[in-house]
Amino acid sequence: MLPDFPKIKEKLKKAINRYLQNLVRQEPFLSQIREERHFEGNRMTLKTQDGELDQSEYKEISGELSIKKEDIITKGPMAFIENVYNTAEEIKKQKAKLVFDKLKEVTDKTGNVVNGKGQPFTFDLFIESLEKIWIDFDDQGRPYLPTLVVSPNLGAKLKEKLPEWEANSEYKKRFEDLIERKRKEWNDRESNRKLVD
Amino acid sequence: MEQGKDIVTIDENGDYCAYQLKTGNIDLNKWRNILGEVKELIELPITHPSVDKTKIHKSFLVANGEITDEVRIQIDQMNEDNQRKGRMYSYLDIINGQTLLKEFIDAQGEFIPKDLENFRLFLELFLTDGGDFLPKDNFFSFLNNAIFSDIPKQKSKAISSISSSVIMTTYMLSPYQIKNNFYALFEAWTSLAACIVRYAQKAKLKKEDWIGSFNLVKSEIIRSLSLLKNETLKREDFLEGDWLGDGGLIYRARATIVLGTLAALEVYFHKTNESYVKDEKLLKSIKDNIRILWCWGESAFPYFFNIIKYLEFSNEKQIAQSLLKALLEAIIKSNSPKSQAGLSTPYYSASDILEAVLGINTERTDFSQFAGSSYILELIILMLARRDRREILEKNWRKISHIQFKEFKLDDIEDIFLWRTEKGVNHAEFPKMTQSWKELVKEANDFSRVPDLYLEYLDLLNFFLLVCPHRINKAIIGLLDKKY
Repeated sequence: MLPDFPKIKEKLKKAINRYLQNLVRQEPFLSQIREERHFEGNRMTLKTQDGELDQSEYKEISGELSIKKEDIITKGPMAFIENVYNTAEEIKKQKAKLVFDKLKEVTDKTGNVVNGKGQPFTFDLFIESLEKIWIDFDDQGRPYLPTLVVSPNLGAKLKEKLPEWEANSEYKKRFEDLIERKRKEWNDRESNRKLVD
Repeated sequence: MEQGKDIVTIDENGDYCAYQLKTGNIDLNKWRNILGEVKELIELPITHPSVDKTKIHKSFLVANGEITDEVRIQIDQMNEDNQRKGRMYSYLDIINGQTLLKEFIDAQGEFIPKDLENFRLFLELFLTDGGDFLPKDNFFSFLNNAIFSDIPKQKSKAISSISSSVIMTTYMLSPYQIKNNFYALFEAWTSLAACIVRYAQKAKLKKEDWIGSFNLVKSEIIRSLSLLKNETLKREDFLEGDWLGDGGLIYRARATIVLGTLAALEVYFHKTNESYVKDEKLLKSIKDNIRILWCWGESAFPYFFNIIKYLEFSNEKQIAQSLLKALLEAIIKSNSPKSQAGLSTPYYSASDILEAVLGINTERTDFSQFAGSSYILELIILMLARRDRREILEKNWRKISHIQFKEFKLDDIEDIFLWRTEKGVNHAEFPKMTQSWKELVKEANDFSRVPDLYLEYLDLLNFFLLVCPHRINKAIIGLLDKKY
């Protein structure tokens, strides 16, 4: 063989991999989801608060990295770094799909679904969605509001609508009432967290 | 040496055999020097309560070098003379280096790694500096891939795998023995004992066929820990090796590991020795250093568990209870769902955490991943329930109920003794929001569904959890807490 530099290349490989991981983590939605490393086993189970046992298998996520030989020769590791962006995008897509598939599986099972029936996303639908979920509050009584994940089109429309909704006194009142109800629910839940006889 | 006999055995025919061991070649000069010992070997009976003195034993002179022809002739003449004159002396046989080598290859050759990967692992272990912790991942891989990989059809081969594992381990540990690295030796012998039990279970061997090897390994565990204890108690502090880079968290981690392990040894003696007397010096060392103990992550739990147990039976219950309460509060604070940095899972060793904290790790560790769950919270809760500490739990239950209990559940129970396994499930569940105290106490004291394997090897498991803290679960900790 020709002389090689395996130790240096191994370090570069790790650095490129770290860069790739960081790119994936920068995605606003995925960055809010906590990642946890598992060292063994072939599946996961979660027993929910209502005693349901949810089992999941591990799934592989991968992205292809295709680089021309000439680019490797001329650019070296930069050739990988320049191209790793597409791989990161591919991994982000697969990760997000996994998350949404799981969400769908769980919500289908529990029936915790609001069906818009193809109608535009209205304030009523927004409130109805919030009604269906648990909202927690911090020590100062501020709500931890959930993240709304929408398509780019709907996102653009919502950007226009949100100031309108905020300015509408009736909507504002309905939203505040909902938060108050959720606060009461949360207080009830928290006061149930206790050791009894 | 006792009456010319270094080793005494019983062979497959029930005959007693006595061996005198010599290093190097034996020529006429050396022979003349050792003749007195050889005569004792053949003339004096074996003195042991279980040996029938009227029965003549077989004698062997063993040399790892060569025995010259002149010496062989003298031995022949001596044997003939004894027979001719009707002396009731033992017949002297010889085993030289070449015979030893052949017998060794016949017995062990099968287990010397042939596969390149295993050979690399063997060499890495054998050529290590011996001053660091045992590379457990590699050690388990070597044992389970090179020695205990298959379950042979012939039981005798399985039994011989176990005997060979002891010899191979002895070779591999020589760098650690040279350095008197007693903690690494303890880790290695404990890992081997665990692998032996698992293999014997899988091969369905009768206990009497392998218990001899197992007991030998177990005695090495105790010996290593006893030596560690002697060394520790002779010292004024816990500094080790090069002082540059030592101290601070490294010092605290070392103190926690050493004191926790020695507490486990005392727990073992307390359980197994009726005439056990508590070691005041060790107790003082633990009490003096209690403030520097460091819970670097959940893998520190087994050390704290043993310190708590040791303090309890040494009539220091108040300190023990404070320590247990401090552990609970540390988990509740660090691993609450909104925490930015939780205590790591038991899969992260003290070294992993030190590297991360000191910023010298090659792989980034995201400590926020540990928030919201814990492998040890439930175990601590059940320990408090067993000690009737309702008030602590009552005060903290709201916070506790937000933290998931984690556990790795094995598909095959004997895999508890593996370093890693694919066969199992990473389980998580929330504590009950409203928890009945009565039910909690009942659960804490219910061992009806505990596997027999845990009960049978409880003393090994207590040591094993120090080596593989990720194998902790509520059944084992419950048993060790209540019944051990």
